[in-house]
Amino acid sequence: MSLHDGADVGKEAQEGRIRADKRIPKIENAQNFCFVIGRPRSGTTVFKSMLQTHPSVFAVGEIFNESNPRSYFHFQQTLLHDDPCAAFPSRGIGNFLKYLENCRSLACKLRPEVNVVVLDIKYDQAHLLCEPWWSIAALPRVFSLLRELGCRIIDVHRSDLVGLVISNQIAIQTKIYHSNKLGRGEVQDAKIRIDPQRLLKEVTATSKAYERIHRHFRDYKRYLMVTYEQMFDREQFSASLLDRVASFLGVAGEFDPVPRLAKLLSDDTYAYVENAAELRAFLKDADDSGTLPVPFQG
Amino acid sequence: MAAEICLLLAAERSGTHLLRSLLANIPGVVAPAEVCNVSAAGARRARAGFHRFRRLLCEENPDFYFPTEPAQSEMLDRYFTFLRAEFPRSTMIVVDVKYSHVHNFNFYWWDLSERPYLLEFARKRHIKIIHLVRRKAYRTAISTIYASHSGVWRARAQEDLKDLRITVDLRKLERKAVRLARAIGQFEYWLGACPAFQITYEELTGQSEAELGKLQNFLELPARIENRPGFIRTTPSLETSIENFEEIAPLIDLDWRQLEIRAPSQRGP
Repeated sequence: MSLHDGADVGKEAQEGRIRADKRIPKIENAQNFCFVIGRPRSGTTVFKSMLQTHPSVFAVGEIFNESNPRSYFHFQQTLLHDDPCAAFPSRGIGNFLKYLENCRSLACKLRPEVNVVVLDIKYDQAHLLCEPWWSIAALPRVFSLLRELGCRIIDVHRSDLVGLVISNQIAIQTKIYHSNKLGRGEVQDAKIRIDPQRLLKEVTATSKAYERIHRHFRDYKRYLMVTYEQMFDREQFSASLLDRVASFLGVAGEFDPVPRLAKLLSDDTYAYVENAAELRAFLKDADDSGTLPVPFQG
Repeated sequence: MAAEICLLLAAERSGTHLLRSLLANIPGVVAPAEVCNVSAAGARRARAGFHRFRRLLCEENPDFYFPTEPAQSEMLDRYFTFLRAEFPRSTMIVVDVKYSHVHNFNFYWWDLSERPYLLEFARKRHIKIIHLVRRKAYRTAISTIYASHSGVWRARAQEDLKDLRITVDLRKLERKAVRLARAIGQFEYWLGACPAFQITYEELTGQSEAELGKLQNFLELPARIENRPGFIRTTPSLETSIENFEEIAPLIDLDWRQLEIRAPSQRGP
C-alpha cells in the first residue's frame, strides 16, 4: 500500500455517513492520515517520536504550532500569497484539505516508501481550524471533520492528571518542554509554586476534555485511545502497545521500542513543587468533597 | 475624543438587529452589522467587517497571520482604531459579535472551558459588553430553522416577509435548544468577571422602558433609548407556521435555565 494506491475511501464514506455538505470535499485515502491528539504534557511527543521510527511513517509535527515550519499556518501563508481571500473562515475547511494533500505530497517526495502521515493536534489548539460559525458548546470543528473524512485518530491520555498539570506548569515556567533541551548529565531540578485552585481548574478541564473527545470518537472504528501510563514497560515502549499501534495503522511491527526522549521529570511530580504539602492537603480536601474529578493519589 | 467601543454579544436570532436599531437612534452611536459574519450578502466588503480588516492587516504584515497572544491583542487594538477611523463622527461604536464568532479572536492555546480571548481583552481594556439573551431558547432555535427555510433573516417591512408552513424535527430542535442553553450559561459565567450588562429579548420586545433606562445608564448615553425599532419580526405565529405545532407546544416557552436543568449530563463546556 502506498499513499496514492487504490481508491479506498473511509468507512464512513462507504456507509454514506459523510455529511451531505457540498462545501466539504472528500479526500482520497483519508485513512492514511493519522492524527495524534492530546493535551500538552500527555506524552504525545515521545509517542510520536516512536511512530516516526517506522519506515512507513512520516510525521509532520504539531500542525498548529508556529515554530513548526510545516505547520498549517505556514502553508496558509503560501495560499494567501496567491489568493488573499483564502483568509476568510468560509475557506477554512477547503484550505485544511489542501494542506493535508500538501503534507501527503511532501511525504511522498521525501520518503516514497511512506504510507502513513502522522499529524499532531493538541486539544487546546483545535479551535484554530475555524469555520464561519461555531457553537461554543460544541467540540471544535476539526474533530468532526476528521471523522467525516475517515482519518485515523490516536488519542493520548494521561491518567495522572495532577502530574500532567504540574508538568505543564514546570515546562511553562522553565521553558524546558523536553529532555533534549537539557545539557549532558543535566536534570530538571526546578522547584515551582503551584496555585492549588488553578491546578484544580486545569485538572477538571482536562478531565472534561478527555470525556468529551472520547465520547465523540468512541464508536468510530478508526479511533484508538492510549494512555501515557501504559506506554512503557521497563524503560521501553511496551510490546503490547506497539502491536496495537501497528495493527491499528495497518503496518508491520517495525517500531523501535527504545524511546527517543528520556523522561524529563521523575514520577514524583510533587518533588518539583515548593508548596507540595499545601497542594496535597488541598487536593485531599477536594477529593473528600467530590470536586476532584480523579482519585487523589498523594 | 475617540469613540468608545462597546461589544454586543449574543447568540444568533436573539434580537441583535432590533437592539442595534434602537441604539443607533441615539445621536453619535453607530451600530454596524455583525462584524464577523462573512455569510451575509456583501459582508466581505462591509466597512466594519473584521475579516476584511484582518485580511488587509495580514497582507501588510504576515506576522498577524500567526495567532500569538501579542499578535491577537495588537490586532484587536488596531481593529478598534480602524473602526474609529471608519466612523469618525461617532461617540460610541457598538460591535456586534455573535457567540459563534468569538473563536476568531482566540490565540494559539485555549482550553474550551477558558474565557475566550475577546472577553479577556474586553475585561483588561474595560470595554463594556451588552449581553443580549433570548430567554425562550426553543423560540430562538425555531427562528433559526424558519429563517433558513424562508431565506429571510431580517425584515424592515411586511413586504420583506415570507409566509411558510414548515415541519420541525423535534430531535434536532431539542439538540439546538439545549446547545444554545449551554452556550448562554457558559457566556453568562464568563461574563461574570467583565463589565457587562445583561438584557433579554423578551424585555426588549415587551416595551420595557425600565430595562432600556438601565441600559442607557450602563452605557452612559446622553439620551434615552427610544423604543422605535428599525426591524420587524420575521417569524410569524408558530401556530400557523409550524405543521407539527402540537408536538412542540409544551417546549416553546421554556426558559433556557430550565433546559440546562433538564439536561444535566450535557452541562458544562
